[in-house]
Amino acid sequence: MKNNAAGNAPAMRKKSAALPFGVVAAACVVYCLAVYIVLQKELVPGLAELPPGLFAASLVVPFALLAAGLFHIFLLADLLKRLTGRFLDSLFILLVIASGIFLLSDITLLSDIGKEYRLFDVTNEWAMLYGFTIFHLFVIITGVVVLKKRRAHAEGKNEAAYFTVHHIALISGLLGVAGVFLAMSGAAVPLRYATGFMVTLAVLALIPLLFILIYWRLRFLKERKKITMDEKQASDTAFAGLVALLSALPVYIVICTLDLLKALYLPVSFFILLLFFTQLIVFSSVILAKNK
Amino acid sequence: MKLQNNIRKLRFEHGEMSQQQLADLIGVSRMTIYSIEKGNYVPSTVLALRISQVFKKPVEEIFTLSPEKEDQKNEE
Repeated sequence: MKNNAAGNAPAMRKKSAALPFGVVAAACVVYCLAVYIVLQKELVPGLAELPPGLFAASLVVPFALLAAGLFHIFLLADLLKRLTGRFLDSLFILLVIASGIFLLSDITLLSDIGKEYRLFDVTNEWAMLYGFTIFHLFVIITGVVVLKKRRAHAEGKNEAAYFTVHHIALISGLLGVAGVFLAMSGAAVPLRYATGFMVTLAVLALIPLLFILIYWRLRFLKERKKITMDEKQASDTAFAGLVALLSALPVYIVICTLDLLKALYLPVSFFILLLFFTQLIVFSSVILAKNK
Repeated sequence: MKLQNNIRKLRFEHGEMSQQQLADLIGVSRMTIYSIEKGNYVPSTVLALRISQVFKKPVEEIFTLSPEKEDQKNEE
């Protein structure tokens, strides 16, 4: 067993740095929110140019977003270093990754608003921007609380990573299924763009899973050298794969039959993505159920 | 026939060893040790031999097959 006494000092120093960094990041996000509120009122089609004060204030926004982004990276690195394998911790890792991706979306939204406000209604873009900003604030504040409470050492790191991967796979599967149905419902975008939107949502749902899989492989490659799963984990994985395959076969047969009869009223990509994400849910659920 | 074991008892006899400590010694996860103790997972020969090396006891003293009559009584 490692000596905790030697390891505690660095962990305590990292905890004390997290709080001011988190406060600064939260303040930056609140600042951005305040600027957006004022900007939305000022950016009307007839506007010639921004008032000098507001223009100067808006120049700070990219740096504020950068500070928030750096805190996300810091937070994610710490969470990955101290994996616990608990569901809520895995969910929070996914939320941090999602919030980081949405930070990039903020930049895109601001750019779109800047280009389109004179000619088009940008209310939806503002709504998305506010939603993402509040989400960033929630993640940062929760992150500060989590960092303050976390233990100095995590035991059973490979086991924790194994469960984290499957928790995130389960959530990614659920998000993927929701995304597929959202895209095809026509509620978010017109149906002619549904396929592209659905693929985009599917990729977004998979990014956290790919990230954690790559991290797991790289992180423990050195330690385990040849294997990243013990015999029971490998056995559970094989069993879950069998269950996922058997549950998918009847659905494949139905899809192929409907396609041959020209009875599919939705594109095949919809069914393929839906099947993929449902199999992901089945696969990870079986593994988690076998390890209750 | 079901595989039974007395790993939990042996752990406590060996300085109140935790499941995690035993898992680290033989190179598996804590959940694997938990599942073996509960009888939900049958370890491989290699794993059983590693466990016997830790406790310095023959495999037959750690793992036993419960007779059929006991299985039926337990199921009733």
